[in-house]
Amino acid sequence: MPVHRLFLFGALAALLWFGSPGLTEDLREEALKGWDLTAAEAAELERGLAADPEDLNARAQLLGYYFRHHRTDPSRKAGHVLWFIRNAPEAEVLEGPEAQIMPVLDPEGFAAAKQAWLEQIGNEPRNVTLLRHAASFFTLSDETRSAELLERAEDVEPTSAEWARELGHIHWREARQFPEGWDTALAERALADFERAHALSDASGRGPLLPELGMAAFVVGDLDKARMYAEAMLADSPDDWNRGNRVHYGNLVLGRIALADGDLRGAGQYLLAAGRTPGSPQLNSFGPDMALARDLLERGETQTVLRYLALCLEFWEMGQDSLKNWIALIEGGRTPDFGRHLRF
Amino acid sequence: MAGVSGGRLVPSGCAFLLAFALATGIVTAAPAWPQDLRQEAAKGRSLSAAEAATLEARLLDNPQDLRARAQLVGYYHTGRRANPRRHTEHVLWFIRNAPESEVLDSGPARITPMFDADGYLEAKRTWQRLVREEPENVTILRHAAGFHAPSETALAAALLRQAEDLEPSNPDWALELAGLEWREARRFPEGRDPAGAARALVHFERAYDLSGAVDRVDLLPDLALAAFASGEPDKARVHALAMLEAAPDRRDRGDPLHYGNLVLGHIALGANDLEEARARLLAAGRTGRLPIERSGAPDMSLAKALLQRGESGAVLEYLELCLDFWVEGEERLRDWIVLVEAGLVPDFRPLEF
Repeated sequence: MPVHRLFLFGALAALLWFGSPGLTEDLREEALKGWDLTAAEAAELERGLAADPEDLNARAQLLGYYFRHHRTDPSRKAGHVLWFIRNAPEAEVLEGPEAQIMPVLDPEGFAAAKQAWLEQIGNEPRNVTLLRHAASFFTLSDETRSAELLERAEDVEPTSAEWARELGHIHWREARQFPEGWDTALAERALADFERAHALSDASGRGPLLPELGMAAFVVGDLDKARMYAEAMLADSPDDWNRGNRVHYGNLVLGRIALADGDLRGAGQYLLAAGRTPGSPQLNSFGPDMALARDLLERGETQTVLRYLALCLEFWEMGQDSLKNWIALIEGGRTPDFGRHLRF
Repeated sequence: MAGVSGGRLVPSGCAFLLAFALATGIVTAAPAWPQDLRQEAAKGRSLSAAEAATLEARLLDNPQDLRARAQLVGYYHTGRRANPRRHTEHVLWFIRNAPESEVLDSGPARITPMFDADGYLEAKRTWQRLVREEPENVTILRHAAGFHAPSETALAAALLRQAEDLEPSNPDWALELAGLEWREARRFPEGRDPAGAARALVHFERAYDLSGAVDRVDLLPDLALAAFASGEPDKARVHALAMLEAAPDRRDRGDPLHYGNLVLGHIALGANDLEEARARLLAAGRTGRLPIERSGAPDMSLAKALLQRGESGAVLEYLELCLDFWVEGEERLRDWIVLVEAGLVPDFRPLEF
């Protein structure tokens, strides 16, 4: 191990041991700070790094800066990502989007970082932090490799829910990206992963898994399971950040099951109950699900869907324009394209 | 296959035979085989998995069956997310064995780094070697530039400039360079990048100067739009008026009439002449033919700008006019009409120049 890397590990360990506010957390914050740097400030940090290459704060800020300006100079960003992978591969800044390199923007940088990660993993194949960071690096560009790394981490730590959960997210995303609609086999794998994660989690970890469990069970056609998870979402509603998600998706899953049973009225009631969610960080940003609304619209339940959309205006802060457009289109007798708002 | 010795491509064995067969037309026994291969790649997009497997089996017996391979390039390109490696292997075969084949000048022969980063780099290295070995082969330069254009614009531009140095009187290179700059200028997050549009304009003007009379008319829409986007309304007006002047002589008069009026409308709006802008929008909608050469769809940038000034009446009339000639866009147009009637501004992307 190179001397400067030993030094960095030592520094990281010492800071954590002596109760620092958390260097790794700080570095992620530094990366976020970097988003707002000006070009002149970034150039100043680059000059500082030339004199002191181990200024982790400056380097993390530059990761954030180049992430924000990724089209301007992708190779600069790759240099900093590579430095972290080679010299501080356990730094949590490597878990964030700032440390990912998109092959479409910088194919050589991606290849070099990939090689560096594979070397690190080769040197320490049972280091789950490295496996986590490498899996995160590949999560958008090479899902298969990302899944393999997570499976290896799960072999090392079979009682940790983290690996099964992350595998579930990968398989769930892949299942939905299948060109001809849902890939049922991948959805089944996702369901199995989420169920394993659920079994391994404590109470606080189980709640956030319920929406995915309910949706995946519905997609694979296991309506009894889907109902069980949906009812658990609605029964188990502590007032935490996830409550809005549980209310939303619990009712939507029950609504789709009701519709599958031919209960149009019940499905409409569930849709409105889903719209009465208090919102959540995810719903407020990315918006509600429209699959049940689409199905009801196809069956002529226009007024119910319009009421649902009006309810969504209350929490989907970033989607006001989309909602108003959909309302206008439905009122004008048209069927909106709900696009990526059809999660299951 | 193609032998490589000392960094040089050496046609050895079957590669030599293949090169000979290609040159003499033996392999396809058809005139203009490269065109045919592009069509074969297009055909491949609708192959079934069973048909693709049959072609793969045929290639095992005869690796130089170019039609089969081109079809498979098209087939795997469509499903490249699921099986990127097989797509890459066929593209690499063409690059290594038939780098001048025009199938390499088509979309299906592009390797997407997002789906196969290693394959993309392998192809990139192969193109770099070919360019080093034959730095004056403009076909290889064109194909290499086309390969890199979607993801590595600077590299593609360098290859095009190298080709232009070899053929300074050929307008194609300036046109390709203009296309790269114009595409980047339109990717600008806050709308069109005036500096990028100005760089595109320089290339468009050089292509115009190097072109014959017929091709010059085809370049007028690009010239006018790039001039307007780069903040040169006087130049834009000259090109727009030239379009309207040329329109009656054009069989495919959709483009000059549509874009000529559109650009004049934008210039009028810039001068706060709303009446003229409205009239130009409607004239752009009365072309009666699709502006097929550029986008295959009517442009909505002036409609959007007028809507933002509250001119919904003229925009509704324009959208109704578009219904007469944009058959494929009927559903979208009817959605937009509903939204404008409701007082909203639709998202017209990507139909804004």
